[in-house]
Amino acid sequence: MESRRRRRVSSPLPAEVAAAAAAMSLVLGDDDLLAEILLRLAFPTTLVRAALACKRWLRVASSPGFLRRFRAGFLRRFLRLAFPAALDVAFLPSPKPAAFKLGLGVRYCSSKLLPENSSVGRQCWELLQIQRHGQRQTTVQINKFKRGAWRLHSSVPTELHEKTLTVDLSGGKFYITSSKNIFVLDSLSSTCSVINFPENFHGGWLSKASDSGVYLISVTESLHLRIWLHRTVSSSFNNWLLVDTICLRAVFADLGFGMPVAPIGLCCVGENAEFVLLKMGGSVFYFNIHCRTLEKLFDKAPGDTVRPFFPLPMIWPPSFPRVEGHDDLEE
Amino acid sequence: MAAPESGDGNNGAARMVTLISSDNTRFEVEAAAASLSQTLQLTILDGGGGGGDGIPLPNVDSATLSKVLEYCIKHAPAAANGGAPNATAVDRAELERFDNEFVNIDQSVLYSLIMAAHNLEIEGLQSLVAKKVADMIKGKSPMEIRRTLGFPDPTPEEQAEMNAHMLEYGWAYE
Repeated sequence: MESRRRRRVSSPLPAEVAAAAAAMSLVLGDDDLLAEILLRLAFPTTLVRAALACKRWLRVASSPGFLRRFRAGFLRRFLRLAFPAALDVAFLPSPKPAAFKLGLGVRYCSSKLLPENSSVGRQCWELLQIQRHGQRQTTVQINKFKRGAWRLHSSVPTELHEKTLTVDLSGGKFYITSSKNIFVLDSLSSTCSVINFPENFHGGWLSKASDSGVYLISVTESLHLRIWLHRTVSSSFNNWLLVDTICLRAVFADLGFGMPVAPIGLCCVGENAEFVLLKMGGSVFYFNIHCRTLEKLFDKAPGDTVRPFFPLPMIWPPSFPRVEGHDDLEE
Repeated sequence: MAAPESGDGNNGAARMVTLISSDNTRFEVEAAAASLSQTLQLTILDGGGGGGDGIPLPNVDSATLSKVLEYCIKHAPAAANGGAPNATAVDRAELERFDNEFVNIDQSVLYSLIMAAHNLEIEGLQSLVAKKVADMIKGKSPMEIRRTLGFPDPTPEEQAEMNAHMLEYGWAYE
């Protein structure tokens, strides 16, 4: 029954080319099927590339319904993929840390941010934390990717004694937590300032708030998840607001995971305080703060170390060129 | 002839059904395999497709249908296990190997498959083929994507638009 298709073809016959083209336009001409394919592109940058291939693709890829589905899938895949080696994951045009020469004996930690839709414009950022061997001082360097090249944007020496805990970009500001306070670098004015932690509170994870500002999230010894919100208003004095306290014992018990038996730590927080990843014993849990749902992501294998990671690559949504009204052209 | 009691039909002689492609080729397969298709499942549960009847599939040609059934037959045991939570690593690796090889085919066949999987509502197959097409797109610039998928050359307006995008999205064209 397959004899018809078994023709040996070095150069395809016109009829077969036509048939292949017809099959392709049937599939790619169907918005639903096209969406199924684009959904599986996995990363926002890949999606933007595909969207630039033709007008119909751009229309499908930038529609809000599609983006919601894409984001849900991306988040899920990202969490499974990136864990626990996420520090090396960068979904950026250039996989290398910025092209600046780093000498021997220099430790660095690079965090990258995808382009985003904002007043800052369409750029990628890299935050490079550099520490020279034997020195206490760390240099935080901000590099900007624009028009196809990385450039040094600003560089500030700081006294961060430890590895950066979390970094986030909100309204052109980078937030870096150290053991003593939160260090804020303003990428627009190249100035820096400091925010103190809310009352007798230290450490914690930062998460970008959707309308300027940051959340600070931490798990207390009594296993409560505390969520603070800091609005970026004119001055730098402390205006933390405790927005939520969640008893994790109750969450674990109510959702059928039993009473937590080991200390619970954070290993990732989502943008807009939407979710956290909780580490307990050898397991990692995904807790959605908005929906109050808990799901076990995986048990770590013996010998694995669970490293904290930065939720940076989730800058959302990807920016697309504008779609005009008369958009129903075939590719 | 089918075992009337337990719906499983996995013991002894499995129930068979006949599917008829658009070009009138008849395919006899186990009901369990054909039931991977949500569309067919209902008909089969109603007792259709048995005996001399056969279920006509006017949208699927014989070449595509034989490929679809190859997938269904391979995946039916795992699907019967409810997604096979207890499947061994070996079983899973074998299915994965099969899947990888299965989609290593001409683009035109891929498109026919995705269409058939969509019409027959075979979720796993649709997902597998969509993933394959997505993989062909990944890591490519917009122009390379067009070339890979055999799009016609851009019209002058499209070209102008792409040039404009290129200024703004230089990184995407690298």
